[in-house]
Amino acid sequence: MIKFTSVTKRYSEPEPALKDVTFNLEAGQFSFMTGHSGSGKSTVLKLAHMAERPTLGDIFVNGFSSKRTARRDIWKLRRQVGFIFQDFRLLPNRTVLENIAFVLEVINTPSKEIKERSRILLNKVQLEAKSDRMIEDLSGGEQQQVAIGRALAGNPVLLLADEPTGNLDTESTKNIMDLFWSINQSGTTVLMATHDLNLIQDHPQARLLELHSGKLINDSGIKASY
Amino acid sequence: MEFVFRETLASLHRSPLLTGLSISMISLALYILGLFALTVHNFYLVLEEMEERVQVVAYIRDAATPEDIANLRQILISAPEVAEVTLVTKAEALQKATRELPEFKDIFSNLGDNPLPASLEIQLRPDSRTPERSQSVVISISSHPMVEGVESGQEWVETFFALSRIAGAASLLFGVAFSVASSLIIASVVRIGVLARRQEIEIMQLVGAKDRFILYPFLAEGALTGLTGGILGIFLTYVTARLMTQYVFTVTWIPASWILIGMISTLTLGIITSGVSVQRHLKEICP
Repeated sequence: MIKFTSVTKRYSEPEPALKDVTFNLEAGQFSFMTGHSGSGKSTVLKLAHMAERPTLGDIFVNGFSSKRTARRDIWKLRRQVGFIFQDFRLLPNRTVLENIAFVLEVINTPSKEIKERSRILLNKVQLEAKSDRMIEDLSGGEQQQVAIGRALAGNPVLLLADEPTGNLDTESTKNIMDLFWSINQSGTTVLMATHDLNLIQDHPQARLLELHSGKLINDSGIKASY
Repeated sequence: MEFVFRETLASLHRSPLLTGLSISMISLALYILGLFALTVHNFYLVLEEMEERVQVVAYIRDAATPEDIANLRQILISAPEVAEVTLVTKAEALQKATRELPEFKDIFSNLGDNPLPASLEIQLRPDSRTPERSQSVVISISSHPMVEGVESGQEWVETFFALSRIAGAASLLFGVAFSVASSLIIASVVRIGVLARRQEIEIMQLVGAKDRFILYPFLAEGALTGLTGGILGIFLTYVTARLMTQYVFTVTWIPASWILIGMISTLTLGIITSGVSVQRHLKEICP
């Protein structure tokens, strides 16, 4: 599903953000990616989402090569990949339902199906009862649930999450993690960046990728598939 | 297309403050430009009126017969610089003097002989109302035996043309400056609008929207904001012109072609700035 081959990413700083990183994430796996701040976790996710291109090496994401995919074709990859941010990045002046419907509209879902599919997605993230609430009226955990619902709108085969529980309390974190596991169980590959060691310890079944100063220093390999 | 319309209207509705501010700024920019256009247009109308007064007067000797005058008139009419020649007889000259100088009415009525000469008032063609060409008419008729003297107001003509040149340069300079300033205001306002919705652009791109799908609602919004601001700016200029006519002095409204140019410019500028800003964001988000 995701294959990094000798990937180096260099920005303006003298030290590269990623140094010669190689790993292969199989379809259906649940993986944590951990490391300190600045270790390169977010860079890996951005590269996997083709928001950035590698300086050296090549990346394959569900058949799309970072070397050969033109900028104008990236939308094809994006429709197969869901992305979740720590800060949710929802549209603040819209309702929960509108945030989901907006994505369905963007990916050309027929108008008559949008409402129904939005409801199904909200049901999946257990927010159907709050569909008409404005985003700013929700708790952090609920906002993240909406963000997950939005990421699932295009039926992605891969879910990338950048510190999705970073801003949440224990209870909300547990709910979100349960949601991720159930999504993974339905066949979606999940790659989650986190520096929360308790979260990793609580889920020993997941594969663990550990980054330090841009280098992959630990890869626990395939441990389990849900 | 339905999405573009819906998103455009919804976006304008969702951020009424930003929309209102954008439209106000654009209308203000166009209002300033409109006032300048109004000033320039009216100033040029005055200049045109003054230009029409550029004429040459040939005074005819008393000895000239009607045939001589007709002959002289024929020579003048055939000259390329001359548009029209009007004969003012001795009697008409006296009448005119009496009318225009009422304080000398008694003197004029007690005159035995009419001392005023007959004259030919020569109107020049619009393209010949220059100091050089009016001078060439003066030279060509001065030597005629039946012409006693020629008056061309050469000094006034030269002053008028100097004034015209200064006015032309000033209006070009200020016109360019005002247009650039207005364009910058409009462009900045539209860019701020796009910048305020950067997150929306990012999210759309994130979930797999094609670039043109993201772009179209912004282009429509830019066009709508530009057009509305433009209409409002022109309306404000019109109200000002009406108020000035009512309370200060008569102001002639600017030509429709100028209004059309103003509207098309704000519309185009709105679309182009929106397009460029969105494209730039798209490339920043996804290089």
